[in-house]
Amino acid sequence: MVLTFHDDRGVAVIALNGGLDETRGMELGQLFDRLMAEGRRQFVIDCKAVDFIDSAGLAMLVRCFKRVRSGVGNLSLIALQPSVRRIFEMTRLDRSFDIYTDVAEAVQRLPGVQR
Amino acid sequence: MASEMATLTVPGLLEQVPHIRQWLRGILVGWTVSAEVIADLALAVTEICKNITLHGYRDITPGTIDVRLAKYGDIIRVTILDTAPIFVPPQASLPPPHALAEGGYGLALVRSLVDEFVHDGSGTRGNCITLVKKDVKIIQL
Repeated sequence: MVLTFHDDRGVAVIALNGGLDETRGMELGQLFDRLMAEGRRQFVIDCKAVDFIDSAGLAMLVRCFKRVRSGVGNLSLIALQPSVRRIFEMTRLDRSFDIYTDVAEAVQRLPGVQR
Repeated sequence: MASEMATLTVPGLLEQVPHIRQWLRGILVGWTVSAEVIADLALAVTEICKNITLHGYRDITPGTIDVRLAKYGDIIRVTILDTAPIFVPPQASLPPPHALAEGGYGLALVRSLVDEFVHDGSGTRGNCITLVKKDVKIIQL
């Protein structure tokens, strides 16, 4: 999996590519921790190129979500592929995460973002 | 008798798990199984094999993981064998969503994704886990 990051009006947009599993989840966690340490609190995770997620990937997303929420920030997910969305629905985590169709919609919904 | 069969043996190492998943996907695509069933079995097998590498072989020299895949009409059976100490999978249920649990999804997901999940530790070696998916949709080419 390739992780990329860019800034969109103060929002950290992390794009994932490939499968989000044990190993890739740790890479995401490291990038997330670094961005948090830099003071970032608004995150969008772009999942349009994620074709697989396992329990470790889910757990890492939950960890990131809880961490950013405890710091009065926000984390949204965008563009879940059907197989990934199904896992969110099975675990009912789709009720906890804000899930949008694209980066523009996710950024627009975040509070305090310049429009 | 199975109409289609395939087997794979790999070292019981975490880095082998994506390889197992890719192999399984390739076989099931070749059997023209629907994408949803492929996704379900890819995740279920990933979780079982990951548990073997992270827990079964944690304190011992890793043995192997054998994966046997068979198709009987509209039934897919996956058998996963290891040489790890006997471990009976708990009857785990998915964590409640409001708990935002940072773990505990793996075996519960497996139980949700397949129609049968059977553990057998009575053989001469390790654990044998059988996963069965029924009423599998086969894409007609």
